[in-house]
Amino acid sequence: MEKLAICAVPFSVEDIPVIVNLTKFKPGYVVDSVVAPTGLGLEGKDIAVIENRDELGYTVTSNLNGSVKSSDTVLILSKDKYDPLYDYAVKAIEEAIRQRKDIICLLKLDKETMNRYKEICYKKNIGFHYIFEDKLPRVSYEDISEPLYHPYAPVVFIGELAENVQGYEVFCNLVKLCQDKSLRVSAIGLERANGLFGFHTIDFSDIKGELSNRVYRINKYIRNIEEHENPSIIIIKLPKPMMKFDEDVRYDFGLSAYLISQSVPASFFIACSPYGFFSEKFWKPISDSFQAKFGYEIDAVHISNKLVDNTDEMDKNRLSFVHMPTWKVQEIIEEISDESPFLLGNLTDLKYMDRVVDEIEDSLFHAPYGLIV
Amino acid sequence: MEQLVKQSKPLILTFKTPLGFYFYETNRNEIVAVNEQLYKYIDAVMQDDEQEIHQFGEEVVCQYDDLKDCGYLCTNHVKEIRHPATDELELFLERKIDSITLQVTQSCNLRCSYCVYSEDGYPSQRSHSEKMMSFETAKKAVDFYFMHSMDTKHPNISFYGGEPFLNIELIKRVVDYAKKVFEGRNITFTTTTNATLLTDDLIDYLAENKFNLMISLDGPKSIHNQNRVFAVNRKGSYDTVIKNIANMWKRHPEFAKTVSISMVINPENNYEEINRLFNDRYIKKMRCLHSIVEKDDGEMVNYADEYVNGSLYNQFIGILSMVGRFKKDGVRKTAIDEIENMEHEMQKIRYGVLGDIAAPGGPCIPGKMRLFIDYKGDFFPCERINETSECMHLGSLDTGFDMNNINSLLNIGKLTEDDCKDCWAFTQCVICGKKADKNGKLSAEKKRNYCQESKTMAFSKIKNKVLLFELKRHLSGETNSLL
Repeated sequence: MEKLAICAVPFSVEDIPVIVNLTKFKPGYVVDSVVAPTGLGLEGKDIAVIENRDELGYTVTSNLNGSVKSSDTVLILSKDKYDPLYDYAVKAIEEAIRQRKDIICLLKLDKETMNRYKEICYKKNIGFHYIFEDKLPRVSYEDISEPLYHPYAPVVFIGELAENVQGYEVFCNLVKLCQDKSLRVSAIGLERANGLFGFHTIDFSDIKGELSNRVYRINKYIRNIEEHENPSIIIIKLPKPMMKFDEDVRYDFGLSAYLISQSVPASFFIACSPYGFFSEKFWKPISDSFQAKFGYEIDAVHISNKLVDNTDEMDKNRLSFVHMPTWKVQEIIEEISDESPFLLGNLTDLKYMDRVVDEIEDSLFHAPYGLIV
Repeated sequence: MEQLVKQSKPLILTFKTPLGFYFYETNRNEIVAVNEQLYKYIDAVMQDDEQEIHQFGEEVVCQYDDLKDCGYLCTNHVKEIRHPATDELELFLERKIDSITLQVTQSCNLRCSYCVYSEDGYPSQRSHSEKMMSFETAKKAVDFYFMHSMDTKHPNISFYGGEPFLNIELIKRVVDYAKKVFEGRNITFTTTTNATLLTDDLIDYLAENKFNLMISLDGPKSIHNQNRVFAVNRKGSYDTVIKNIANMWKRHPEFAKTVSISMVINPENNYEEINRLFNDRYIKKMRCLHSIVEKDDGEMVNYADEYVNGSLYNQFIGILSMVGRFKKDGVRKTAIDEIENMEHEMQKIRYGVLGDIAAPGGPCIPGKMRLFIDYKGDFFPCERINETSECMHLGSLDTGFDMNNINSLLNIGKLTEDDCKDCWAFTQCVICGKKADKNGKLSAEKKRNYCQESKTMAFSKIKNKVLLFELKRHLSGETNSLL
């Protein structure tokens, strides 16, 4: 069967994992074009340029109309409401409708707008696949009187030490490698592309209600997934960084990570980090503090090429990064990874991720003993 | 204040107030409160006063050792001065120039008495001229910025002069062009103006394009007109500026709320008189940023007694307002700006450990934070430097960055390496290359002239933090900081 050509729009730095994994998880598609406005400086360049990485094989164009025209389906990438590219994404939906192309919409729309597009597409016989987030189940008094459910499948957490330090790419790589080893994977995370890839998408940090109730609701959600999917492994990407970065960049103080960690015990934890944190002196106390706070130590570390720029004063409450060339990061990792007490590497590179998966298999599937909880 | 700390001694500054005893730990950028005995013991250690040291009991010595065990009173001095961004300098300049400032003209329709570009008072600087940036140069500058800002989240272009609106046609063309080039990235624009040329059309344009606008206004009519006069007839510009500000509020009140006032204060004037500016119905609603008038090298700024008294009193009630003991409305606006600035500065005293290789605070990454591009396309670290200076020249649109000069400015601490390594104000230092520029060369001697000023500023920050601490304790019923 011929593959369907996808036009992915509008591309920005956080979409790299969506583009590079699309055909891996959805083999019926082929990425025909990646579109971004010229202002991103990517016209005619490989998407990797935006992260100063080695080529990934997808060239960016700013020709929206032409790209939509040559595609079968337009993939509208997820953008925050306040992102300057949000309007461009809406423009792309309208262009796709105008050219009668099927739409996969990762962009979060308000209900009214979503229904309006759905109706227009229905009338024009255009496919409109909108990604909905999962909803957490409600819990009864009986539910919260019982001890928390302990999944039978081992649970792997992927958490970030700062926002957008390639945690989602690490997550996708891990899921794919586990699937390649014929493991049944239940994959859960915030990113809306999960809904496209056949995983679960849920915003754990957006749950309202009493704190301890939220723990039970997350626990019940995982239980439902396990009962329904019978996975051999559950992989969860934690939605926000594990802790505040400093006094200015506080995220949610690691509260989301804490809530989820209370709901489900992790068997293996992968920490994703900005560039520059290589030494055991740094990681050992962090790992110990995670053990005390979250109940698990760090088993593997992903070192991204994102160097924190402390001199940028434009946005005090968010980190700003400059991207190191990946070859340089690679060189340092090669030097130190063998001596590190953790599995430490660039986990966007399958060479390193393979080692992590081997370790997961050894420690979680081929272990000579294990505790029954 | 101690000047330098011996290598064998903890890199600290001890000081006391009427309510307590403290030391500032340079290696950790923290202030520690101690009891009187411990303070005296630390002082004796710092003075190498063996006789005095032996007079203290075991308890005090134990307290001293406890602090050492906790990582304080550390005798580590930086081993090598090297800015942490040195190795990645090219990367930063290749991918993350934060903003650029375009000198759209060197011409100005005012002749302010303190202006660094005055034909008479500042021989070391360039003078006013009629030179204008061409669109070709501006376009090249925007393209250069675009090519060097892949990792810049919030691109921004500032327009600088002279009076930038004397070249408004260029500004408009640059805005149109930059919006096209940076499509999808929400580029913003900034200008400082004397506001004499704000016509209806220009106000509409600035509001429409959401300019970050800063208007220079030095005080009420009597003060403003002393300094800020039209070039053509030497008459004061106050009435024109105020009329234009009022018009801006009438045409675009929401935009006007975002506009700030930049005040250059001449402290020879009366403090209350200066603040009378804020009786104006529009000005009082605007944010005010102020600075003290700068003199050319070697000249002292005179402070009138009335200014000092008024300023100190308002700082005092401003600090009381910080702890909720005085209504902010009763504090003069210039003092509110000072207090806000003080809060911001105090936040810079927070835990952070110095390594063996470090650089004193002070220099930015030259060319990264706001690359200043003059009318002919030459690069400078910012708009505040001397454009005729060789050591400030960072390259040009035609030749690219001059990495040698950039590196020297970044590592300005190397000029006085031995002094800096033993200086308690290492982390809080505010000396950048501008202060070391002597006839176009970086000079250790010139830099050293500013050390005392920089230390005074650092100590002022530390004192303010302690003052707030003591005030809060005092208000909560504690009389002494530590017993």
